Amino acid sequence: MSKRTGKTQFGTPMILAGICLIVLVAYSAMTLTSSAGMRLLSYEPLVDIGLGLTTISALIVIWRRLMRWRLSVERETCEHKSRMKALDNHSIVSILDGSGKITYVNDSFVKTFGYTENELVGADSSLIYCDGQDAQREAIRSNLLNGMSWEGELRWQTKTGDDVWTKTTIYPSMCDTGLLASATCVHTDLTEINKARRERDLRETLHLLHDEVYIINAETLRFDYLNKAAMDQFGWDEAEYATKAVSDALPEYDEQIFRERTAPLIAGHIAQAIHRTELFGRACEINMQFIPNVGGQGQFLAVCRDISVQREYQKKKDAFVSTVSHELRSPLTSITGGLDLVLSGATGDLPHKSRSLIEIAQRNARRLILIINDILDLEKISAGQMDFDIRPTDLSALIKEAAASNQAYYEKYGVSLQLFGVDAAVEAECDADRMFQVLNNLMSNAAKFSDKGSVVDITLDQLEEDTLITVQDYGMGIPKESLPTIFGRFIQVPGQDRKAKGGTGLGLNIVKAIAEHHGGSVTCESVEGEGTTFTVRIPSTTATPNDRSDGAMLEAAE
Amino acid sequence: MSDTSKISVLHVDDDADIREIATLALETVGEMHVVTAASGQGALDALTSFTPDVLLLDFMMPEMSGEELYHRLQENPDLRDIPCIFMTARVQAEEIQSLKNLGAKDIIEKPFDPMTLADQIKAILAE
Repeated sequence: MSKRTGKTQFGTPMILAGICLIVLVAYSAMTLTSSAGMRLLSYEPLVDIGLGLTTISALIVIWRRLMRWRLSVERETCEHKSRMKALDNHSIVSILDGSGKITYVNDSFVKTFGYTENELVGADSSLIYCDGQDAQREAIRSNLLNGMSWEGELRWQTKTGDDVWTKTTIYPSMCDTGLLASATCVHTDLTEINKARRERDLRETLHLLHDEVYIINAETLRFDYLNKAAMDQFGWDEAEYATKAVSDALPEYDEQIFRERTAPLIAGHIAQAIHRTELFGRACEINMQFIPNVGGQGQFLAVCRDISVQREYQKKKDAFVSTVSHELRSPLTSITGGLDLVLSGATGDLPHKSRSLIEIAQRNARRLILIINDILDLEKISAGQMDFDIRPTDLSALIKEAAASNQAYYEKYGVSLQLFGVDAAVEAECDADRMFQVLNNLMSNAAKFSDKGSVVDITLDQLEEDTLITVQDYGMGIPKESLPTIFGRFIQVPGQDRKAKGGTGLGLNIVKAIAEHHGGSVTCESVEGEGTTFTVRIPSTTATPNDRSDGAMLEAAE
Repeated sequence: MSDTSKISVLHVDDDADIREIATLALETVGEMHVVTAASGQGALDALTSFTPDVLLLDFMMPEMSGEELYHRLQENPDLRDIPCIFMTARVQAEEIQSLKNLGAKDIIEKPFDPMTLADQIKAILAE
């Protein structure tokens, strides 16, 4: 294409120059001849000769200029050729016809996009488009249709699905009729530049973090990257950390233990490992993740956060909660105590209307106390301060005990309890008091939401690895849209009936927290109008996921 | 003083309302004899002329806390053998444990049930 253009440019002036030359030669010959003839007649030979010589010298000047011009054109052609070659090497070039079909691609284009020339030429240019860029493509097209060029950054997709970023200039070429004949696209590949830019930006951003960020080669356990906070921690600069390994950073480092603890990360069993420890005189939380690297060694990403402030805050918060609960309980002691005494008749008979009002006050004051107790429990569980005394416990006995203590409550609602699978002792590792709390919460819920005269079934099932306790009622059930949130805090399923039941909205959240602390779970199935089943699962041998007593345990987190 | 067959209680609490309710509960429901004091010093003063069968001590009081009062009583040979029951609104397990470690006979949580308070105290004393 470039050659053709060169020939045309050079050819036309050469032909013109040739014609000029012939005309001049003819003219000068004529002048010389006629001047020789005139010399005989007019006796002005000198004038004629001068005129001829002038013409010849002018001819020589023109010839030399012509030669010089030719040389410059040749040089320009040569430059043009190499410019085109350079452009071809540097840029990705394609030409599209007016309908957007590819009519020409250069070698770089073929190389970049991974298609063969045959696959590309004749294909629609949308072959290499990415999804979701329709608006941008439309804007370019409308530019071209109006005869305007377009310049900007574009994202494409190669045959293998990789992204390619380009800086692109598109020139339209219009027909005489004003329609778009073709468009020449010149692209500069920015993919690598963008990648490097993104990586640099990311590293710069990581330097701004207060958390220490370490990227460690999973094979050699050497540092690939430390952010500024991490470098400051050790007083290393970029050149220095490149020579360091994990063993240089951790005071009590044991490679075997490190490998053992990170093995589940590499195997993909866990997404991240959280390790809380004292490091350099401060409380730290280290979050480790594994970054698999295609075709190379993987890396560990470790983010170390100073949690001393958090700990301090937690302590203050605990003290606050404790104080508030005390401050709330003291007046409630007077309120409930006073109401209880009045209702007991210790202060004399009560008129009927007063009694029912005082009963309302008493019921609500008691509810406040329950809420305060639940909040305190939850605070303790979430702060990891609730003591769990986990030991082999007979769940059959525990269920019977909980059933007995709920008896009066069930009678009040006119609901009866049926126990299954509790004849023989079924042992599980758990905290008896906390499991009692779980059973109590589920049993009282089931009674509350059952119809008078119906039953609640409690079933104990010992499976191979787990022990299951199900609490099933045949009451009003829970609407489907409420199911996902019922284990949240202060969640009560909407509906007037339920509000009258007067729960705290925290009971199921406590059940969940306790079950999870045992390494188990609680699930709920419900069909509106048919009833609800809660299933508590406890592993038969319980590992305590939150046991931080050794301060060096890796805790799996999802 | 009054009927000697009744269990006598010295109830120390800075909250007047709670003193009144506890007194009513213990005297009316539990048929006990109750003397009250609003502070640790008030309790010490009362104890110069009266030796109760049991001390009911609020744990959190301004000036002299229940704990401090308890230590003061332990220093006095005449008073150290009076059984002490703490009343507290702090019901965290380790707080209860630390009270028991002090040597408290037992702990009654606030809010208490006025209808069973006397029975609770009798049960603790019977242990």
